Amino acid sequence: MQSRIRNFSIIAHIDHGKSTLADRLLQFTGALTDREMKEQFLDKMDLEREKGITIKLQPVRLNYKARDGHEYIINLIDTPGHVDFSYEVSRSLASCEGALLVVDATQGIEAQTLANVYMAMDLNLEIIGVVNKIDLPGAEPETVKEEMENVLGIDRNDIVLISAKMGIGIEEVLESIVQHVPAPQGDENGSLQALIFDSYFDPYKGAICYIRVMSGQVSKGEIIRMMSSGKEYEVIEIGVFNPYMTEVQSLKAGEVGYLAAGIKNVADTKVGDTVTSAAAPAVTPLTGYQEVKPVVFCGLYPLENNDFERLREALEKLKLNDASLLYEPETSDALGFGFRCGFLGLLHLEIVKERLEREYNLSLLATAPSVVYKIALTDGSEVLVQNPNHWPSPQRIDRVMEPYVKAVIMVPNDYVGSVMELCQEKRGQFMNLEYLTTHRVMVNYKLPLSEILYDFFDGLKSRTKGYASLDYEISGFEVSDLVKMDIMLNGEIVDALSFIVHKEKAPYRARAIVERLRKIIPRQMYEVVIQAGIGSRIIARESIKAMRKDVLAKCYGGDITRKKKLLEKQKEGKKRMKQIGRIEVPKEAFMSVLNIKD
Amino acid sequence: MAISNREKKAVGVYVHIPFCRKKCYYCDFYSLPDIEASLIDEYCQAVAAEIKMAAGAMDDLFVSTIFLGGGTPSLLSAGQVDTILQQIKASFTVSSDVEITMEANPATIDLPEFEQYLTAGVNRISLGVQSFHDEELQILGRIHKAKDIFDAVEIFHKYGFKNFNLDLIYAIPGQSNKSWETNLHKAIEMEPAHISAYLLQLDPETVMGKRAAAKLLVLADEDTEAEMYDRTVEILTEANFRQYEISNFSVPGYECRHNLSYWRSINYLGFGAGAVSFVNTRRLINVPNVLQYINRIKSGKQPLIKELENMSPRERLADAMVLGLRLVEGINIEEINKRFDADILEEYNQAIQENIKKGLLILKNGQLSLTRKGYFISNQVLCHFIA
Repeated sequence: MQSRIRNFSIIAHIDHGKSTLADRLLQFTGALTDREMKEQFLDKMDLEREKGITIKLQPVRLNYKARDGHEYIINLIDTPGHVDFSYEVSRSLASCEGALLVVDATQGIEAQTLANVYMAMDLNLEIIGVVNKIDLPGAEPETVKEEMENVLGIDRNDIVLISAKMGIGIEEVLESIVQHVPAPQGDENGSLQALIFDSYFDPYKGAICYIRVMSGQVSKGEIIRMMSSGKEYEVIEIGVFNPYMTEVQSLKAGEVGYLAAGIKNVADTKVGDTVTSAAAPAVTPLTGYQEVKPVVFCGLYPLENNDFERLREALEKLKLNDASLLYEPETSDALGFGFRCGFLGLLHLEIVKERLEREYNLSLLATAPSVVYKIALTDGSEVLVQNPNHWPSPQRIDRVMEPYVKAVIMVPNDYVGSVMELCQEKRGQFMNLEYLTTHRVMVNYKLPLSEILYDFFDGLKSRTKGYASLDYEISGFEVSDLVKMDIMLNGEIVDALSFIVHKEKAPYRARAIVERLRKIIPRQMYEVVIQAGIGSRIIARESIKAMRKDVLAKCYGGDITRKKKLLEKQKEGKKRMKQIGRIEVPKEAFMSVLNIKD
Repeated sequence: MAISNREKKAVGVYVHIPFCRKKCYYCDFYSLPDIEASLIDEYCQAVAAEIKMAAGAMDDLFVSTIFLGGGTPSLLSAGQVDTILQQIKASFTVSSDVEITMEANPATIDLPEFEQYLTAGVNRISLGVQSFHDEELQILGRIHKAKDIFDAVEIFHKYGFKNFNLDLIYAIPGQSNKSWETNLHKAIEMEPAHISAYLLQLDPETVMGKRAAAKLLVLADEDTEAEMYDRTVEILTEANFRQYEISNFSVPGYECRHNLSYWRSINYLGFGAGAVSFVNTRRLINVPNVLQYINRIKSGKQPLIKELENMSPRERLADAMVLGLRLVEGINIEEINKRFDADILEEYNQAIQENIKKGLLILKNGQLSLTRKGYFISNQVLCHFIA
């Protein structure tokens, strides 16, 4: 019965306690025994647990007997907080009727709080305000309530005060969900429309689709049709997450679950697609999702050249579980065959690279990340360039445009000066400044995306003692004075190290990167000369002297085993190197442009 | 049925004497400083007992070299050395021209004892000289002074004892190229049959390793180390020493046969606490603790506690390559192929060709060896051969 179903997502700024609240809800409703419970239960990936962040959305079904005496099925979708993963949030929200907005009682509203709330409002979701961490010494729940009412328009009387860590207020949260989140309204007897909001590849069952049934129902054994491709499959398994994947016979309108239909071809399941019944198909698909546009690109290359095909397969499969990932094959003179990949941000890039390496046992090398530039050529045409090696020759360029973002920075008013100083250094244009409360300020700036990507956030954190939060969205292209910088090793340009830089910052960057490479690249059999140049003009140079010593002076009976281990380690080390011409370059060198502080 | 000596396989015997007066600051071997005489005696008895226990299993072997290493074996009395050597002779077939080396600290050699060592059978001495400069000896934490070296060598000469080695260390913190060359020349003047010249390489757990990490010591840079090595080879070669391994030089015919057997992958048996044995595919280590070692032996238990490695045929080949390439003569292709049923030119084709191209390896007259240029950067070559 749909009137006893509630679907909601938890949204919040990073570290405001989403995953801990999810843990408590699981425990409180008895979905998990205390023995099964572990922290961040819904963060399935090792990577999530190691980094303490949520990367993937994760649905779970709870059974809750409310104070009104009825049993409710509550579907919760836990979502990431970091801006790079907002696509996961938006897809989760589209599967729900309500959103639980968690705000830290010691921090108040932050940049991503706002961004997530706007997303929920656009989808007309019922928003339930929750103030978390009220047990902490610095908690100011009343002030935070006031902020939420003033800035977000949430009635302060409806806001629930909780401490997820201490288990305070959990039942109130569940009651509020039952009372305020609308029940789903789909027609159980209508034709099947189920939204695919996530998927992943299982080696035995094929693609597993996470679905929200909007209308009709779907059962095991039924023939379904993917509305975008028209391809049909028989449902071999259907189930819910309670919290482990558990088979059921059917899913009805309003319900959240998964289905497997022996879909081996990864390209045939698309997040945002509508699943319908082959026998009685729906006339129109659901709205689906907007395609996301990656904002940062880099080349991913297998360290072992013959792993190229394995990398292709890995990308295909990962794409299923990460709809925002884009890729296409490319070649590099230095690195051979690889893929140009697009990401939603640098954290996304880092996570994708690590997932590919861990989940698919690959060793990868990432080239310097780049944004997309729009270049107006002298012949009147325009090109988009996201690989520095496709940069046209200077005489063909009329003007160059780079992507800008509208950045929202929230910060206590004491730090406004430092924030503005940082933004100016990063070529920002001041827009305006709003007071959220008497001492909290929202600073709006227009900034080049490339400046935000690198060390902007670190700079922001350190200059505001961690109090500032940042959110941004792409605003468009603006004309800029940019040049392509090449890096040469022993006179040969290493295409994978080329990058685009603002002309004024070029000399400093050139010196910094050349110095950094000198430190990263170990001494080789021959002298190595590192140069940075724009066109044919060299603007920085360093050299690495030839290696003269690499020896085990002593190797006798008692420690042969130990000495061999040293050689083994050295052999392993060589595997982390990329041979470029005669020079062995460590993987890290290719990302080193990132770590240059301005 | 008795096996004749001709069919028996040569094996080396290593005896570990883990005692010293004071631990040197760069030493990473198992050794106990300043131990009372009664324990040393008990230990020697235990070693003899261990050798006795091993006797039966050794019918098809004969001992061609014996090495008393440490620690400071010259802390042992001639009687204790005799006990151990007699037990080896009683338990195993010992070759008539057996090489018996004893390591000695210059501060521990005196005349009557030295004569008795020779009587006990010792016929080669390896003297831990390290440097002829007292301040360098002090940095290394050595107990002896330069004068002790002259006294010890004088005793050797008095007895007409020729077969001795001088161990030297270079790239000691603060050491100049000139100071090192002086050390070499002084060593040459002493007319040893053998000189080992070792680059100082510190284990992080040693006193000097820790001091270097804390920046209390300034280590020599790579270029200085390489220059010192180059000069070492030049000076010793001029003085008619022949280099036969990365760090070892000798008057022709006076190579250390025991150490050669390590690099030629010949089996060896280690006795004593912390001693390592190499038997066919396995390397095993005795318990590296004197008291536990003695207790085990007393209760009739094997002192072997751990298998360090057990090699597959391929790893065994790699082991032989990595060790054999340390020798100036290198590896005899035909011999190693036959011994390991392999075709190394095929198996390591890429590594061999690449390193020949780089001028680090040379293939000549059926021998594969490092070039002169390759010695001091030999890890760059050897790591390609490791399994």
